[in-house]
Amino acid sequence: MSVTVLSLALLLGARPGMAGSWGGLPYDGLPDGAYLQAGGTAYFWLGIPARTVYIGEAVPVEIEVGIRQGLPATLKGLPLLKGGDFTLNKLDKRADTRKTYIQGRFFDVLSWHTALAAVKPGEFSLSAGMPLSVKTGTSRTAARDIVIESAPLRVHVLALPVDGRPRAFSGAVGDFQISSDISAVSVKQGEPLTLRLHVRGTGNFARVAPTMFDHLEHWKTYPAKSVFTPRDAVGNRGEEVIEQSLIATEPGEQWIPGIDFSYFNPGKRRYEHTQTRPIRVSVVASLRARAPIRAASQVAVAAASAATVLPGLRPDHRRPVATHGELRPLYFHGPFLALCTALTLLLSAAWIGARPNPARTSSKATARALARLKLAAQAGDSLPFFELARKTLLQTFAARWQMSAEEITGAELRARLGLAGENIERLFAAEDETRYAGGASPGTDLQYWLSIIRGQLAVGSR
Amino acid sequence: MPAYKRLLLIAALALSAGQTVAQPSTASRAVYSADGLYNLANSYARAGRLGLAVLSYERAALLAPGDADINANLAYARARAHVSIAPQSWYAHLVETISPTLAAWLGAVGIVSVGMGLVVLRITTQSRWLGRTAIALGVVQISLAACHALLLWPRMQEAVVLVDRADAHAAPASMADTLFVLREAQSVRMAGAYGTFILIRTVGGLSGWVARADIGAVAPTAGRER
Repeated sequence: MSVTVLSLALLLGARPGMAGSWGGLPYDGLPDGAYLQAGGTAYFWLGIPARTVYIGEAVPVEIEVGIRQGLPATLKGLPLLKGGDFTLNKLDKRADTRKTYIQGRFFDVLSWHTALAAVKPGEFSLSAGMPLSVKTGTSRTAARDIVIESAPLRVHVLALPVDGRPRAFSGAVGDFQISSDISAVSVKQGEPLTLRLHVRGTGNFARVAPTMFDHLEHWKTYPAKSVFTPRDAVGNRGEEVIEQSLIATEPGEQWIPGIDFSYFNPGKRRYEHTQTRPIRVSVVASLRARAPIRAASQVAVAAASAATVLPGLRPDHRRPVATHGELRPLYFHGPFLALCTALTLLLSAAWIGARPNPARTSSKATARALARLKLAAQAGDSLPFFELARKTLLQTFAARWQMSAEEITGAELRARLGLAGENIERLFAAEDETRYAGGASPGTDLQYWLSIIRGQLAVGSR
Repeated sequence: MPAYKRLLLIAALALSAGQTVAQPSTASRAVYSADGLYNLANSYARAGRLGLAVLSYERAALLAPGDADINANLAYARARAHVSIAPQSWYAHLVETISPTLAAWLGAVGIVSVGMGLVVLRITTQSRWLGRTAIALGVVQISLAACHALLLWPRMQEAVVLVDRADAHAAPASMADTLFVLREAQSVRMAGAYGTFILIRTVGGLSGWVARADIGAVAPTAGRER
């Protein structure tokens, strides 16, 4: 018995104890769908998580072979898929081994984890076989080759949809994310750069073939190389790095366009498109390229090539002249709107804070009142003269002393104007007398009063 | 305080406030240049990626609206993509004659002009014509900037289809019914967003939900390229 186990381990380079336990002898039983063959001495089981898959979709597969302990059998190779409808990833020769207990017998179990992919659409039967050699007698040649097979599985393979298939789709199926970087963003003309595209995710990386640049204006391109680093045992998850060497042929600010990558996401059942950001590279002219004649010829060549590729397209601009932090116009920027708001508030505060000069504001009205007083004096109309004089003086004093006209009393006039205040009191008294006399005021010198009024108003306007 | 001293003080305060607020924008890192975007668009056009080419030309035109090369190549790329565009109105031509940056600063100067004119009228009866002229000039400048912003505002919601064909769905889900199909380089108006879908409106008035990855905004907000 131990000889058989030893022979299996030696043949396959098995790693004992990866699953289960040799000491505890757990009872695992047969996997679902497996059945004992060769007189109940072996079984072969093929397990996949989904029965409906898309072409190219990487489907994780578990393969398990169980051989009853004591059976003098050796493996004659690795498990093989039957038919050509599916492709199986390369199997590791080092299978995981464990021991299990089935129907009262111990079995040595070998298992592999890998992935398969369908190559054409339709309804298929998926099965695999495992060649064994079983000793039938005591002589060395007494052996019989048998093949144990898995139970067939019905798998429905869907074609990738035609509608919505992006132009950049190259067959990748899975769920991926991409990013790009470059070895340097500032180089001399003629120096090589390495543009790297990182494709990370889960799926069939064998079909990941993003288009790098066959031709790039102002750049010399070289064939791309890719390296895949798996993140799991199956190779279904990992990162593929595609590197391409580029050499700038033109000095100045050059742009490497973003790289498109489209894939079909079987989980979402749709195509997805993603793109890396364009990369700006500053290319410094080499000494040779700075020679005017050479530069002129390069310009001519570049213009000619551009014209050849796309007649009608105007040529590139030689030197970027302005830079902007954002594409949105300045008046949609927060800081600029804040500036305008601050200016508005500041000027509003200034407008509110700046008090108009009351004397100046009323200067025109005063001039008009004086003109009317002069006319009344010349006409000898005493009552209108005095009424207007009183009104004008009170308004002027009220504005000058920041108080209401009703608050201005005789005492206030004397206190503020002194002797002139007494004259104003007499003027107001003359108005009262004229009013009581029915408007007649013979012998009153209106020109005298007019000069007093002028004097008071002139004080205010100075 | 004499009137002229007040004016000088107010002007000095306004100037210092302007410098303080303007500092962050001048210190921010420059990313775009009209010529750089134009050259990038040319690269895309030569590579046959007309959606990206039109998007980059549109972005370049935002920074340099009057640039003849940009406008010519934009029209050329659209023609190659067989995308029809609505004829430009006279006011759109007017917008193209003034750069947005110039219009913005005219508006700011207009605010100062109106404010100073009002203050002048308030504090003095002499030289009232000066105040009135400043106000009139300021109102014209502010109106010009406001009209410019209003005319350019629709382009802030504009987007360009970047893929061969983009399905416009009835709802923001890929399994929803397809209402119509947009073609590469077609310009649409963004009207809303939900998850990974954008509600768009075409020039013809059709509306539908498009995957965010299928279109690129002409004026992306800071930090969002597409």
